[in-house]
Amino acid sequence: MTTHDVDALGAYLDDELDLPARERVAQHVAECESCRATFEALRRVRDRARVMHDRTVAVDHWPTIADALPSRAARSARRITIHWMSLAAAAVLLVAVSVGVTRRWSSAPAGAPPVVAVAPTTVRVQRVALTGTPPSAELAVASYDSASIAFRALLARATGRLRPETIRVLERNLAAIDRAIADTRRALRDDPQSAVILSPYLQDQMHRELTLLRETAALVAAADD
Amino acid sequence: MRGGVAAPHLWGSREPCNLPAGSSSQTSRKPEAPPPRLARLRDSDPDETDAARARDGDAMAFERLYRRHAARVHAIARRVVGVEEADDLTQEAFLRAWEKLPGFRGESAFGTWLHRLTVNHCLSRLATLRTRWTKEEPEAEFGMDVFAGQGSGDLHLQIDFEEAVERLPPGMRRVFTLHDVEGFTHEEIGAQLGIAPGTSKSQLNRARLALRRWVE
Ligand SMILES: [Zn+2]
Repeated sequence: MTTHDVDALGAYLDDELDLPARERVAQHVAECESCRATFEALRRVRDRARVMHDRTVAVDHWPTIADALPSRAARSARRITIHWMSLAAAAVLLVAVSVGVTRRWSSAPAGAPPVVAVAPTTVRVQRVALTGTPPSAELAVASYDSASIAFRALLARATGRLRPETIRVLERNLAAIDRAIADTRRALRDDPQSAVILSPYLQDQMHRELTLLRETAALVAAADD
Repeated sequence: MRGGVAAPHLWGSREPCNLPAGSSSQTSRKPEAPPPRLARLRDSDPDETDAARARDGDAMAFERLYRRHAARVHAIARRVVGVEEADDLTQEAFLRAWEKLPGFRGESAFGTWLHRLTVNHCLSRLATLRTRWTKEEPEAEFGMDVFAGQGSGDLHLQIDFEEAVERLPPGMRRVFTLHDVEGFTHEEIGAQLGIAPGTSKSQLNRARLALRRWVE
């Protein structure tokens, strides 16, 4: 083993190597601090996997099971199409956010924040949320920034139209999301390998930001009427 | 039961109990001819008593088995197939267990038997789903509202190891679950998931690396 080969370390850990290969890896691990740390991490994760703690199931399935017991008959199961339909619903929601916010701004009176900056922002966020693969961390962060800018602009516009306590709640929510995003960014920087887990989390945060954005737009619209 | 699609079952005819420690509530095998005192102890095991009653048609005994094992069955379904199928699979696994109970003679612990039945049922569902998917599950896998209502803070403090496992991309999550949690070999996993053993190995190690921050 001449390179830092994670799969070789995994095979060594799982005792899948023949004797010569095992000795090569053992020697490399003894000499290479980085591979030693990686090997220890692999081992800790593997050992942790053997003691999984299963959380309580949110839904009580017993009534359904009990109903089906006497017949022991096959049940009709929900199909995966439902899953696709909810995806479509999510897509509609995001498009609605884009359109709604853009329209509000387009019809805003003079003195409102510039219109041009907003529409492309929401479109970019929408694109990220609808891609089929987890976005790269960079893309997610860039889009989050856009959403955050749009949100702050809307919040500024809302000041004076909404009750102070409403504004405070919105600001608190935004601050919480901001902190979570900052933490996630830091975690991604410290440990890029966890991006497969953390990037979707960024998406969650952006979604919450978008929801706030949509709700604030609705509040401002209601205050305008 | 979805037309009884028969997938190859890893544990079909094999002797049980090469499962890792902690993967079932009980892993010791029943001795062939236990001394009377041990027999009494074993009989006092609630699972064994309830399994015997459920085998005779006692639904209340079966409910107790459900209460004790639902969390684990649901977790297996979430990790092997996915969260969106887990409710259905949990119900089906217990119904299947009810049907198959007459064939359960206590060669292994009830928990081990149920656990195995669940993995096999999940794998056959996965085989069915795989033929429908043109690609791996898209973004719904990363449920958008999982963190709704949560505060801020470092993600690896907000979610635990188990949730991090569920948030792995599907391919990595399955391989990691089957290998490190359930004790399958890469050859078995490859055969079940339709991937090369080498792919299974590299998915496994990528998953382990992705999870390292949760064990530090
Ligand atoms: Zn090295």
